[in-house]
Amino acid sequence: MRLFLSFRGHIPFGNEILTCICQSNRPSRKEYYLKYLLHERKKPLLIPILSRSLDTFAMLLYIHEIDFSPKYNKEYLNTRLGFHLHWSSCLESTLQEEDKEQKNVFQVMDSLLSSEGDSQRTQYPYVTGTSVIGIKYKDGVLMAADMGGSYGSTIRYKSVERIKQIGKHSLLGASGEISDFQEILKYLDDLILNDKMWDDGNSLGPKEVHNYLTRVMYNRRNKFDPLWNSLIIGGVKNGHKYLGSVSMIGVHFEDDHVATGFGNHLARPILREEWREDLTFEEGVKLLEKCMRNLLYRDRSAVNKLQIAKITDEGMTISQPYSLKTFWNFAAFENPTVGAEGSW
Amino acid sequence: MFRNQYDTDVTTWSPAGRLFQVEYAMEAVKQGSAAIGLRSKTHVVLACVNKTNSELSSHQKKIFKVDDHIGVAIAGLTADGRVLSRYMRSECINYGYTYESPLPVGRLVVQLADKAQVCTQRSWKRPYGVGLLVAGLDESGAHLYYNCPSGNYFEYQAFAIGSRSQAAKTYLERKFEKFTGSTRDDLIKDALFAIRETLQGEKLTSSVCTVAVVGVGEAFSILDQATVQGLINEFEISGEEAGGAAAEEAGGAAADQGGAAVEQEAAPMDI
Repeated sequence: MRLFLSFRGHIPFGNEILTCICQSNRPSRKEYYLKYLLHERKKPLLIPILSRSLDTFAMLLYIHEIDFSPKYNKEYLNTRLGFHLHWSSCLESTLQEEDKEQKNVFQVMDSLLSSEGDSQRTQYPYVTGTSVIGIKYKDGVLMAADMGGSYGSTIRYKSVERIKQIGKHSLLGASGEISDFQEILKYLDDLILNDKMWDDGNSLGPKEVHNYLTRVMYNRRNKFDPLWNSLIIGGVKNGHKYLGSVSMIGVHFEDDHVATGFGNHLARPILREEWREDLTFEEGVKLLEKCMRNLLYRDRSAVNKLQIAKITDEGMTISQPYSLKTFWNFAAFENPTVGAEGSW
Repeated sequence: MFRNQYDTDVTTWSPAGRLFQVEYAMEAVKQGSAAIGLRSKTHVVLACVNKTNSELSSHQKKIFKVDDHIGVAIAGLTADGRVLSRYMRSECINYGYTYESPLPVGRLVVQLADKAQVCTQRSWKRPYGVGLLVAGLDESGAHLYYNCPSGNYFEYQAFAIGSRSQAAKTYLERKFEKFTGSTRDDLIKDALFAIRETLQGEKLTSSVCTVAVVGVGEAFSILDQATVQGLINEFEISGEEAGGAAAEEAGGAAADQGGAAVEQEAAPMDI
């Protein structure tokens, strides 16, 4: 059965209810289409809704806390919502010829609904963090990340903790979409909790966490709904140091030093030059700070507030936020447009 | 031939607080040919007695490799054992896929026990009629577990199940204290001795037993017949040739069921 719903009245309300209906019916594009109609055309509309029966439709309203009894109490609904609903149900073939507009809407809707996999999955990141760097050193693993959260190119947040502890043996650092990172942390909380609940002395190490995350990331990418992050997992378990990375599409590898994003271009060349197996803690921190300072100078998303985390067989610590000393008084910075005619 | 009115389905309690169907399933384990297991700090050895249903047939496989670090020996309904070992294999593979590391033995054993427990609490199900000796190696060392149809599981230093397993248990109980420090080869030797105990005088040859090992630096593997025969010869544990006639009689008709008298009443569990 095809159900038509037209309304007059408070547009946002109508928008809301139609959005609800359409989401329940089938997500995404249809919803956008309706929004388009509602926003662009400020006049009464006829919206065809695909629904198995009026009862289903009533149920949808019910779900969204709109009291709509199977008796179709229109008066009540109209009062409650403050706009007028006009209900009619008919088959496509019984459409009135003069109702051209209605039919047109109907056809557009049909074409939009025709392909099953038309839902729009690929999102874009909103609030993002920039590079994370991780290195192995003599006693374990070190990781560094700044605390900026960029909303597009605006550095909107300045205290985002992007390095977190996972279980007893692992650290996770993330760049990319912050909310996706929070989602990942939720998955890992569940994972670690379930692991602890066995209470049998076994625990997931960094290698296990790394592989688990690889599966999660690759699985989401295959659903065309990736978690928009590059992750770095470091840890020590039973004396074995582990450091690896996973990208948003599931590419994963282990290395002695890893970095995400800009860090790959700006930090890793330094690490390749200067990293040694037997780095002490102090040397490791110095090396990481050198990398972070380079990023700070050249990556416009980096901020001068960072945390360094250390993990060894004895345990882990994530430092308080601190800043690096910088020097900007180079002659070239004084008047940057000299010799660049036409620039500002 | 029902024992009483409380044994017609698994979910019915007897007034004494027993579940007869579950107990019957436990009996099925005792009917199967013997399987034993023993472990040191670093290795676990499984061994079992192979019996054939007829002169014309081969014996059924009673030891299964589950993963590189886990194997099982079964006694009871072989068909149920196969289903359970397939389940264990798939659990190991799934864990390996997700975490790229071997499934801890204790966890697999609990999962297996939970699976068996469900069958003791559903009216439309039947308990598994098989006992499993699970041998495995993980981070915390070598382990030997026994899983029974009731959903219980126990960890052992050494254990024996199946028909005439009492003889092997007696042997293992006498010796188990030295197993912890045993070498791999010593464990195999003790396994063969224990197996011989269950044969009641029948000659121990590589064709009547299977032996498997898992340990540090050694993936679970079933020893081939030649190797086992070599060990039997080396240890000279083939059994008393003197009592040949008596042994022949016992080992012939009754195969390896619990003696001729028991045989008459017992259900043909291994067919």
